Amino acid sequence: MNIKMSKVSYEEKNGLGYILIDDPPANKTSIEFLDEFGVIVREYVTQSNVKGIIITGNGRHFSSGADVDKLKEIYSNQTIIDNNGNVVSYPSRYLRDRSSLHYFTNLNKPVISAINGMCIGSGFEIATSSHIRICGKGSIVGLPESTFGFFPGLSGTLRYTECIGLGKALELVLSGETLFAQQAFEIGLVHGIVEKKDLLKYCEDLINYILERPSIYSKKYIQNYIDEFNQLNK
Amino acid sequence: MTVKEEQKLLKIQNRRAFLYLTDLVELVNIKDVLEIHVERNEIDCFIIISSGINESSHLNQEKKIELYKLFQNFPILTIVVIDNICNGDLLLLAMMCDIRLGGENLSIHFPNESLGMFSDFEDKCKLLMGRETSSYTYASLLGTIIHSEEAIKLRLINQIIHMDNDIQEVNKYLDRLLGSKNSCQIKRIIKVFHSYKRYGINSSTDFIVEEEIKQFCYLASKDLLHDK
Repeated sequence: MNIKMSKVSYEEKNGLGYILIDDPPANKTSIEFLDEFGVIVREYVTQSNVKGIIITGNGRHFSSGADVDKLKEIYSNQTIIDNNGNVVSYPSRYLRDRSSLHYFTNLNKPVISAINGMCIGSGFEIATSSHIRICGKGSIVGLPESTFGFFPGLSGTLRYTECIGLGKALELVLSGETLFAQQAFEIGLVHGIVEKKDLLKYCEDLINYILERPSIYSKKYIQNYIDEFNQLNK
Repeated sequence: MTVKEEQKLLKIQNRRAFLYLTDLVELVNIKDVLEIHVERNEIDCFIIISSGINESSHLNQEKKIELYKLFQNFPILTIVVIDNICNGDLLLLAMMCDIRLGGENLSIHFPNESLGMFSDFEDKCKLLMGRETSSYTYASLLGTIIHSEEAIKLRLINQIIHMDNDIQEVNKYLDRLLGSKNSCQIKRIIKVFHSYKRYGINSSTDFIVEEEIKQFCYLASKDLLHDK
């Protein structure tokens, strides 16, 4: 299967599904991208028999994040706030976008984000919805939304907390700091760093290693799988 | 204690309230003053600095629980700066705050059994520290002593600071975090994380991320209004 849309494509090859964020060079997670991403997930990935998923960006970068101005426009026009400052209604598209990401988090097959170059904002929210994040050397990751006046809105705050704990997550979301791959690895936001040219092959080999193990895949043992795989390939 | 005496305990500078804590009773004494400052939107964060507290505090269990619940849900950022021995009531208080910073001489003493206040010690650790690594489990922390360097690796504390210049260092840390962000944005972000504190991160994902989208939409709307 090979589906090519204007901002994202999906291909099945050798039992794996490949989702390519395909709007180079920046690979923005624009409204059009999110719509197409949702279609890919709902119409193809959910119906697929692939044993694992790899998500990556076309070209030098994974994704530079959302079109901030457009996003603010849509969300502010479609949000209803009562007299007490409580949000009583928000855009329905949020539930669709969120469920696309949550689908991968809850999937019982391995999902790896192969992070090339910049991976920030909702691009990194896509990556943190994956089970495993492997960076190419020189990557930069993070959630800088607070520097634009708001903060991650696609479960990024929760994913950060799950990975690195509430204190560190709060620090990074408040500051909006982005991190080099090595920093992200040291604090536990990503699982590994490899040479850029080896990124995709490493992720494919890792996912195949996990699938070939005799036991049923479980997210609980991800670090064990990675440690074993790295040990074997030393 | 008079209102003036209470106010003296609390040092407020640049919308940040500092308290040097040696006894939990001091927290009870300034609680009302603190809440007034919060209500009037005069402070964005409350920082407790402690190099150990009086373990024979006269505070009864009920008052302690009330205090811990306050810090669990306080609408502003709460930071605790701990040095030397951190155990018992101080450890519990530290685990209720949003962010923990440590001095170079910090040693965290976990009790042998699950801390009495938490119904599930492992869930609390998971919330504060994130995913377990292959070198430790949360249950294995019980009965151990963790020093500052290890505490950073375990994500129990965010940063080590020099206690000689504690307020200066904390201000530097907060400048990095908060920059020129306005109070509204800070409070909305805090509210999101407090929903994770309140419900735990094992609750239904769709339920606990509701607060995130509501605060996100609020800020997106507010921002556009400013642009107009």
